[in-house]
Amino acid sequence: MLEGVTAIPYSEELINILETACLTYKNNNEFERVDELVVGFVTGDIPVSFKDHIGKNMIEQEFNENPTNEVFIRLSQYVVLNTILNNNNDCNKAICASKLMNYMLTAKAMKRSMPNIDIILSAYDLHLSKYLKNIDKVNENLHTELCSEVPDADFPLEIPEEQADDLRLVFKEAELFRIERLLTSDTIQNIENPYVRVYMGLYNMFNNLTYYFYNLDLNRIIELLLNDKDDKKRKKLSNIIDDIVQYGCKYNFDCSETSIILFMVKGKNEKPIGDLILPIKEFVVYLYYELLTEKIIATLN
Amino acid sequence: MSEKIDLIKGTIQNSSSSSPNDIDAYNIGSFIGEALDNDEKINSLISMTKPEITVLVGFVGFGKTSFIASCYHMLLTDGNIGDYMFYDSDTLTGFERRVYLRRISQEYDEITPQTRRTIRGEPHLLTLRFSHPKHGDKVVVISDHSGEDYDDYRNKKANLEKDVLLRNADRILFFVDCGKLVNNGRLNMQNQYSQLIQNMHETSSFRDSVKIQFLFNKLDLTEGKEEKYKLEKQRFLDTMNDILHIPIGDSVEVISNQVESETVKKLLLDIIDNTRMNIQGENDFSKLDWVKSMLK
Amino acid sequence: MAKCLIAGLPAAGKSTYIGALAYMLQRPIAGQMLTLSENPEDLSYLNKLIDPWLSLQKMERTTRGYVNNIDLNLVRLIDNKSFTVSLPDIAGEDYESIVRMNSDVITGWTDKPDALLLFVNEWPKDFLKEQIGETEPIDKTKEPPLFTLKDMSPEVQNILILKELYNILTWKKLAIGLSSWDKYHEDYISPVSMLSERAPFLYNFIMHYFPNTYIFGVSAQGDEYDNDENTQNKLIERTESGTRAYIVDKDGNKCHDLTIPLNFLIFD
Repeated sequence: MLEGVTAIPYSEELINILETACLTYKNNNEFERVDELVVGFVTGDIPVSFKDHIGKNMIEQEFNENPTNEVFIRLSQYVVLNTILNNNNDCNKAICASKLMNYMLTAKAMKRSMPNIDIILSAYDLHLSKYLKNIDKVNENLHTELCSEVPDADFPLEIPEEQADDLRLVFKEAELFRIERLLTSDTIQNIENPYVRVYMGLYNMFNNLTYYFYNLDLNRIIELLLNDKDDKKRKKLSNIIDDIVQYGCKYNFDCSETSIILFMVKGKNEKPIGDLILPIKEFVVYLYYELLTEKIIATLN
Repeated sequence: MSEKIDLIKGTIQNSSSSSPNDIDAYNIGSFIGEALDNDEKINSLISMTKPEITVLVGFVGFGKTSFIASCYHMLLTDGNIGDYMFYDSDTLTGFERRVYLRRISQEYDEITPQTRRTIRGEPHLLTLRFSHPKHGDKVVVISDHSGEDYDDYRNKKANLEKDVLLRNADRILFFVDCGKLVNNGRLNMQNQYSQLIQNMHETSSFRDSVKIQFLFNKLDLTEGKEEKYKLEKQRFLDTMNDILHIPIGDSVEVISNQVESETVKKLLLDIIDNTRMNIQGENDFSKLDWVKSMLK
Repeated sequence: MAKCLIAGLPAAGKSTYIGALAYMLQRPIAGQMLTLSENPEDLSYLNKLIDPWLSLQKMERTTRGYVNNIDLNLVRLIDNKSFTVSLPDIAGEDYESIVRMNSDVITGWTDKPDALLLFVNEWPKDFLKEQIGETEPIDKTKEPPLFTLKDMSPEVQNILILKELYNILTWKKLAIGLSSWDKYHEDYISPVSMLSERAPFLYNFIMHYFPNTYIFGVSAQGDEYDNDENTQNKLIERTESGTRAYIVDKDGNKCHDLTIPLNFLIFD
């Protein structure tokens, strides 16, 4: 990953030291590590704590090299990708991959070129959408007799193991119904500004969801939130955020810096990305996965 | 803006706070901005693109230092070359020493090797910083070892092995003394270079993509012997081709002490222009745009 | 208190400027940007600079190895804002010593300045002169002298000084004064054009790292000091009318208010 960034390639010894240093950075908090360093390598603004950590390790091994920022960018990428690709926990793997991909909105806005794109792309297969597809085994085409049995049944009711999937399906369908009801409600549909409508719809949806690991049909959600008129809408990101905030929307929960839209709604962002023109459907996708990522993290905590 | 200003801090070599008692002792010793001695220091040169490394190879008296002095003087006088603006160097004193050496070489009958080395200084790495309106800022690194160092390399393979920079050079410019060519010195030069290049091969000193060029220096000394020069030059190049087994780029002919030289300008521009590889990678976001792919 | 470091090689014109400035602060011209709100506690060092300026005599070389601190209480005409400015007068040789890696005076000066004012009064030699034999005759048979500071182009010395000063002290604003403007005003339409033509590398360096630099021409003396009585009388008249020393801004506009660069450097 360091190829081409140094005039004189680093020695094997130094590379080993750098590798060890990278792998021992913020060992106790992988989400924080990924957030910091994704922001670092995308914006070029590497956190001082990372630079100090690497520097300290080098000095301890008697190396007085002064790596350039370009080297640190690649080291940050290495840490992030290692955290994702070598993660033993599939859920955490997906969360970290999603954090990386959520923040690509900033990469798009800043138009900064990025090294090692092919290696970054290897993390894309581990996105939350793929993870949920794998774990949500509830077959929506399942024909269940539980629906006709339960309404008239006496309680307590014993449900045999072979009907477990049926039960899961019922709960999932109830959740889907609730989502659909919320998104098609007048409260949401009467919001004229489509970006605000999308925000309010998704924000409330995630606040009301009882289980976050369903593999929801995002295209269906887009259909429910947007009409034909809205389809082609595009707006500057800074204006989108202004509209949302002026409408009175807030995001009252903690969120990572990589959930950049939520970060902006909270008024915390300082990166110059406001001029990006974002088509509405893309806004839905970015926001959806930011909200999903944050909710899943909150669940794990 | 503050990013640019911070770049200055990265280019300063540490100054000591020792104070000599004798004020006149300032005549000898180090100044800030000297050439760099440690090859690995190049990695610390703050730059948005990988520094382009050009190594000047030549034996004593072949004119490497004069060539460098000419390039530097041209940049100092014009401030620009092509569309590149010359705005800084980490090794200004290193360049100034070489300009001084070139000047006194013409003024004095003889300068002892020791004096020459003392004036020139031991460190060999020089840097030039340019800015282009489209391509941004670039660093060119030039290695100007003394001729004695190359004598050393051709005699002792082990010393050549330690030269990390040569192994990572983007371009190697071999100097040829045209005066020797036309005065029966070709065989001697060929022998010198044969031994050196053989050692370079055996120590894997040629990077895969390195650009090799020959610079025929002191062209003015061939006046009146043009036919002989043509013949000897071709024979020399043919021999080099046989030894190198690496494609040789277009050779260049210069009178390096000439202050205004279009050829020197052209070569320097080619060296700078070659520093194009943007190590930041790709600007094309489309590969990373997963959202667009999801919506398709 | 605002600190403004005035820097430059020997004979760059630092002390002459301070002398002329000090006199004008005490006897401001109409519309002058800055004036003294009160006299400094101790005028003795300032008078050492003002007296030769008034007598049309060359300034004595500033003693090296010391920092002569000059503290001035200033008030700005347009908004009555007041400020105390510290202008240390440091010998050019002490700035030279930065390049020689022996900068005790500068590195020992712990007050980080808010601004730097660099004076330039020496321009790159014409190297072609060495080729057409216009240098002094030398004994070619002797060993050549070793490389010294004096062999370095003044342009490069100034750049090395700027770099090292910034590394040690880090200021927020920079102004470059081209001294002896009375000698150049007919040849160059503005100080910027002179700097970019005579020292393009220095110009590029400044524009790259300090694009907001205030570049101005200055004639603190007002004219060459020579023995011609007419010139001397004119200088005396102009001193009395406040039209002797002058600055020229980047576009070539002339004015007699020597406090303008200082105003740029110390006020937001």
